Amino acid sequence: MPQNILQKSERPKARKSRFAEVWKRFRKSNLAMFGLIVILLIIVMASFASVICNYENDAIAQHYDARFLSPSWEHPFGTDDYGRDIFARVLFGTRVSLVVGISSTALACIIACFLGSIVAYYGGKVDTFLMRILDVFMGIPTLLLAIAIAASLGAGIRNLILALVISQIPGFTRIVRSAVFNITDMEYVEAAKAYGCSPLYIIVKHILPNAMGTIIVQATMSVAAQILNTAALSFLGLGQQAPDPELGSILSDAKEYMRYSMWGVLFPGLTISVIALSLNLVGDGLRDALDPRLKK
Amino acid sequence: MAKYIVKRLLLMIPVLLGVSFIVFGIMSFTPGDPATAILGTSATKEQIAKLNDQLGMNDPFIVRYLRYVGGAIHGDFGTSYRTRKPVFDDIFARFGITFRIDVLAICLAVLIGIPIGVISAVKQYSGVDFVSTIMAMFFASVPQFWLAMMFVMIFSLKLGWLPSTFTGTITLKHYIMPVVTLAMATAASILRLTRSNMLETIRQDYVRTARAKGASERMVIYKHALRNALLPVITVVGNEFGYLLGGTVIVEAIFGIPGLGSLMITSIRAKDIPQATACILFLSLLNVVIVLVVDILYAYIDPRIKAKYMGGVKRAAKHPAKI
Repeated sequence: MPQNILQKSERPKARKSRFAEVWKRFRKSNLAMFGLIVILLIIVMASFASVICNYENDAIAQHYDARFLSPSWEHPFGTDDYGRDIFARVLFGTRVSLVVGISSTALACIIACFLGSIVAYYGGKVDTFLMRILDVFMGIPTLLLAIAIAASLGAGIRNLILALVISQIPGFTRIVRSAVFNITDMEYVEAAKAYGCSPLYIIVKHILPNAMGTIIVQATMSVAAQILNTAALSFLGLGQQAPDPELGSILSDAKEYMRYSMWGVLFPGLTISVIALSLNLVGDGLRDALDPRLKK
Repeated sequence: MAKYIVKRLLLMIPVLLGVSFIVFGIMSFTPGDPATAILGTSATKEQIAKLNDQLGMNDPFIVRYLRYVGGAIHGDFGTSYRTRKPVFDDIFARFGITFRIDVLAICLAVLIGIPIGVISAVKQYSGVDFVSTIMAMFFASVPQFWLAMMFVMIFSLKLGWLPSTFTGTITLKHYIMPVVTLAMATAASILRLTRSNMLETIRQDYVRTARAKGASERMVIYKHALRNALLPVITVVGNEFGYLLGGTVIVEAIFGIPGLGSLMITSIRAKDIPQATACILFLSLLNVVIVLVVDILYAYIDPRIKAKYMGGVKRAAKHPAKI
């Protein structure tokens, strides 16, 4: 019994120290910290979008006396061809982009973890069969697959998310699989097998937590990529429908009037770039912080 | 080597069959029917039902798919619902321009990415390294269509140097903006990969040996390190080509380029199933072929892979982690 107590009290401590170790290394990288702060700031602003601006009045209602205004205190990003405040539209658009990017990556990540760990754990025929199917999906360029799915399902946010989930599963599964592969041969997995633990228990308790580093890094980068893809698909008219704003659709509107005003092009695009850039910086920083080669 | 190529070519067949199945499936199981798309909303219900029947839309999915594959084996990929011409007429007419832009873009990306990546690794932590890393980070995060719009705004609308759409006589000037737009993101990822590989290679034992035996720094970098560092880059260039094929759709939409990407979008929107299927199939074929060519090139350059197939004894090393 005393041994049991000792184990239990030690376990959370060990886990905490690993997180602290990664955080300590992550904090050292200025770029990664910069990215983290910027992305948190953007998430907070997007969450409180309705406090900062009024959706109906600023982002949707048309004010023909205030078209093509340059940036000012009242309209930080200027106004568009309907006299709508571009800042408000970008703010609400960012919310849509973040929701689509994060939810599609989260869904794809869960499915990929499930598929990837099963094929890597069982190996053999299951592995060969599933990987051949994924090879087929990988044959279609990711963005083309997303466009094809989104376009045939019809425009709309739910279809857009579905298209992005399906198109990123193959690549994601491959990454999870290769991360899990290295772990299935570890002695502690063998020990767990010898103990008679069920495969599900081993995968969830022993394998996935250890593959988590790679998966989190991939997921961070994936959110960035999905936000870019969301914008691209919306730009083609496959995402959010007018008049509701989305970063890509704001740009698509701005394309029509860019002869008269540049602000509608400049700010939404910069916003997408800053979001993607910060997420990539965080991902890079995480990868360096989790890199086992640097571990002592 | 021939054995390897033949094996890879044979493996392509199921992949392409699978791709055609997926694309055909996506196009078939979605709302809307081609007859309505062809006849327009003014047509009567009977007309639409009759045309759908003629087009074989009432048969089960599997029957339609098998009929499609059967035709495809004989080179018949169907006729476009819109133009009433064989689908490959349009594809071949438009393929040239897309292919030219993609190839130019990948070449430009390699020309930018590799040299700067090498310099930034050799001079790690220098000003050059810092600036190029930041630039690479930035260009990897910028949406392509936004970059294209910014280029149009600056170089066409403000300065008037370059044409913003593909109209009139097409000159080299028309290609500059689309190619640069497409190349930047790829250049950024090639740069980052070259840099990190180079950094890893420079720390290898054989590089230290080369230094120890008194080889000049130039010799060490270009003869010993670069060759090995570039091997994984080749694979990425192949994968990036697939990414470019996706990006072309967007770039074509912005610059009004009459290429495969715009054909695909128009066909999907118009529910022109044969044309859309053929477009995606063709682009995927291109993707698969490029990856294959790159893999063969890789095997040819990397003596370790060549040895596996040349020495007579084929060493099975599918999962290095499991050995």
